[in-house]
Amino acid sequence: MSNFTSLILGALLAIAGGYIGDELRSWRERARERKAIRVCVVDELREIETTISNMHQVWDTAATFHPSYVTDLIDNTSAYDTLRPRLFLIRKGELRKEISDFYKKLKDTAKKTEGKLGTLAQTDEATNEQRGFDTAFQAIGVEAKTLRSKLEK
Amino acid sequence: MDERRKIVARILNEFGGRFRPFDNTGDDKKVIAGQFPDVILMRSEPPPNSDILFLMKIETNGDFVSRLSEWQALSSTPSVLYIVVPKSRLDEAKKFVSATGVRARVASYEMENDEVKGIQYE
Repeated sequence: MSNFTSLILGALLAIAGGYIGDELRSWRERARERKAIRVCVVDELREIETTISNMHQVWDTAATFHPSYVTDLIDNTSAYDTLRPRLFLIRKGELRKEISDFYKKLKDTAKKTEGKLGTLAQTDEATNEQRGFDTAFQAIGVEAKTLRSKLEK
Repeated sequence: MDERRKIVARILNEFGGRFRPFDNTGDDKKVIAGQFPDVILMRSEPPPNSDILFLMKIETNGDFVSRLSEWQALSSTPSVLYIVVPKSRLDEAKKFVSATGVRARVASYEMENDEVKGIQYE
């Protein structure tokens, strides 16, 4: 092999090595980020479950809602809101969709209750409306738990 | 007993089972957002806790404009503020609350033979 050929071959190997190194580094970074996203969303889902459970406890004991719980729920979407542009790193498309659908449902339900929670009115209409909110949030709590188990796998 | 005291007594009696009510018109007063609401309804269980669910301000007379800053302060807390007014002033109170953007609900009371006939909560 001539000196010239060796030089070219060496240069090609160096380029290939650099490329593979970069790819490996970026693959590891993506894997780390993917794990971080899962951990953040799981933690947030756990908070959401706790808030809904407390909300239900107040409903059980006092037959009323504390609107601050809804504020807490909305505050508990910040991790998702921040990480949303990076959710594509979660490979399973179905799981990604489930996460987006869950947060949309949570936000929509919270919006529906705006100004309606926390009443002392004892009419059937008011009680049924409040009970409906409790049922809706309970369902969201169950969904949060299911989604969390999937993300923890 | 004046009208305010009677209304407070009625509220305390009405919600004693569901909540832990606190009469804030007595000597031992709690300050909420720099103000003194008349009644505080706290979560009853699990004890001990001081989760405030509802605040109530009873307005038996006077103009609402002079109460605005107090209502605004109380409504800035995470608890629900109820403004309790005579039934004859219910519409006026609702319009005032809506126009000023105070985050509060309005309840109305009715007196009969110097006794509280009932309190309606919105």
